[in-house]
Amino acid sequence: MNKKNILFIFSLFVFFFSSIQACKKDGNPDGYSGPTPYHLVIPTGLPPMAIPANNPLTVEGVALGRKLFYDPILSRDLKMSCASCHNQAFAFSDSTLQFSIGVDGVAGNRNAMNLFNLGYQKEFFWDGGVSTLEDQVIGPIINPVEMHETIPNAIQKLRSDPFYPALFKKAFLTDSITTPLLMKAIAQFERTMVSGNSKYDQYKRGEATLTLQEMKGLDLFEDGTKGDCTHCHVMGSTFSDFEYRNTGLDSIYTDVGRYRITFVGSDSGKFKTPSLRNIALTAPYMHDGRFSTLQQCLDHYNTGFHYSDNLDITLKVTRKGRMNAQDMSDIIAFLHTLTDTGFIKNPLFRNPS
Amino acid sequence: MSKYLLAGSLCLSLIIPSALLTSCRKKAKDPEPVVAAKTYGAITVKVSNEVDGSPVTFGAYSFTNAKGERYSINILKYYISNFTLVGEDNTETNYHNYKLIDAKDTSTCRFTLDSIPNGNYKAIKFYIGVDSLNNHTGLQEGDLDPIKQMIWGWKIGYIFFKHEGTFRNDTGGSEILLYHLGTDEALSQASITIPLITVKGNDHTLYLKFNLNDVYHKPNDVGFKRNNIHQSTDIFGDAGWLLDLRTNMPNAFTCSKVE
Repeated sequence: MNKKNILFIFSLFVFFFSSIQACKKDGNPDGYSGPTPYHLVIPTGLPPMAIPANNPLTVEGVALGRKLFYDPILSRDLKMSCASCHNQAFAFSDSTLQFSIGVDGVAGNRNAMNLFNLGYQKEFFWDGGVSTLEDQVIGPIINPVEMHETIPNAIQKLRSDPFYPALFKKAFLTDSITTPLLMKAIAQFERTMVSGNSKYDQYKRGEATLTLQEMKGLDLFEDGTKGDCTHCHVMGSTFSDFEYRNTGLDSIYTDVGRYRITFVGSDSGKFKTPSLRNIALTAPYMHDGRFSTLQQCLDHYNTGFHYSDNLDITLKVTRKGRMNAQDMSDIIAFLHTLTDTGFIKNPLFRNPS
Repeated sequence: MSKYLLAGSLCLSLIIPSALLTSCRKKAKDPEPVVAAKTYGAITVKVSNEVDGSPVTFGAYSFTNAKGERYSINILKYYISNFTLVGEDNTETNYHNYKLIDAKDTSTCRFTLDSIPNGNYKAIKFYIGVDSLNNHTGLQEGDLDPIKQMIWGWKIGYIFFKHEGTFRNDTGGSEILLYHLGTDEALSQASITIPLITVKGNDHTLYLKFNLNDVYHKPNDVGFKRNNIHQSTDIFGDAGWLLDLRTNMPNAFTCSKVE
């Protein structure tokens, strides 16, 4: 490239940037040029995360979502936030409660789900009733057994708050707080809650070694004649295929699960396969929190499951009693290597206030 | 040659940004008033919500359905969407609007269709509800914003029609009446012949009448005693109710007058 061309390109650059500055300054007298893109770091071993084009991550949007996640302002009595039932110390599930208690003192009928690696999921809630993280935000706010607030009230509280209008303006360059923006902000924060630095991940990256028992457990986890876990809890990145299955918890259902969404008979008693990451932290287990220990879960898949027409085919053809006590102990030892202590202590996900 | 190029591009780098700056400023200003194009007109649709000829009122047991059940209205809201004008030559113009009618707030009971080309219009079509394209996310503005309280939380989708109130049961007691109709299966379309409108660069008003009793009667009788709490997304909802209402819904609308 000769000098002439370089000069020409340089002057084009000058033109380009000066015109951008001109527009930005003109549109915003404070000199604020809009939110800063948020660089989401995906740990080695996890796939790239697709971020929806209509809600790109920004530093300001994530910070706003984090504040909202921890703020009881969204609940009717100003006492409950998302974090009330989604506690970072328990991988954002609800301590040891089988059913979380809403603002009216009424318990729900499903166990609070863990929250991490949500950007990899295609649907949300135990039954997959909503298809985007943004849409997920509405349910817990208006559910009478959760925050029991109306959307108009929630938005009104945010609009009359001394801080939120400025924060929404920073994140979305708007003077008007609307429901879609509330949905977007919380979804942005939730997408940043990535967990991928467990002992198992470190082992995969050659940074840690597993004990003999953990190694044995890993083999049994994958062994089709023993644990046979990877049909649903697919090995590696997310430890779930996030499909809906009937795992034989009951043959008569008090909660029809996925059927409530699809109205397809064969979906009765099906629930979404949860990730096994951080599973040692998220007791109790199953959609209704019926099991308080991992041993009870293993016992269920070994001998306890009930036969029914809707029972998942993998369990239908499997042999009851295929694991002995040692096998199950070894698998449990492996499951503990999926705990990401860095995630539950990550200051980026803590209560910001 | 190179000097000219350099000088020219430097000049550009100074002139174009200032030109852009001016154009940015211009954008912030109100647009210049445009002289009304005479080849277009507008139609304002005014919706009146009634029960067998009486205007909708709230709270009291003012109404009786075709089955003789006395009832009240606390909330009456529904969506009219994809409003379409049918020309005399059968060409259809879809305005792709999503309009929430809230019987309690008369300011919501009218909307204007602009830029209607001159011509004769003989019919209207519209959905009662939200088409499947827009029925599966609440991440929408305007009348589809979840702040309108016309969306389900556990299974995202819009409530096309919401009637909440009370009714008198057989023993004269008061019972809750809660009908939330929705899901893609519940979408219905009204197709209504109107007195011919001739648009000649001028504005018109179209009077649309909604009769709530027809929702429960025309032609399928839906009695409140059969099931007084109904959500289309509820597993206890029966498909029969949904199909009955879907069939009746377009028949609840009539157009008696245009001006």
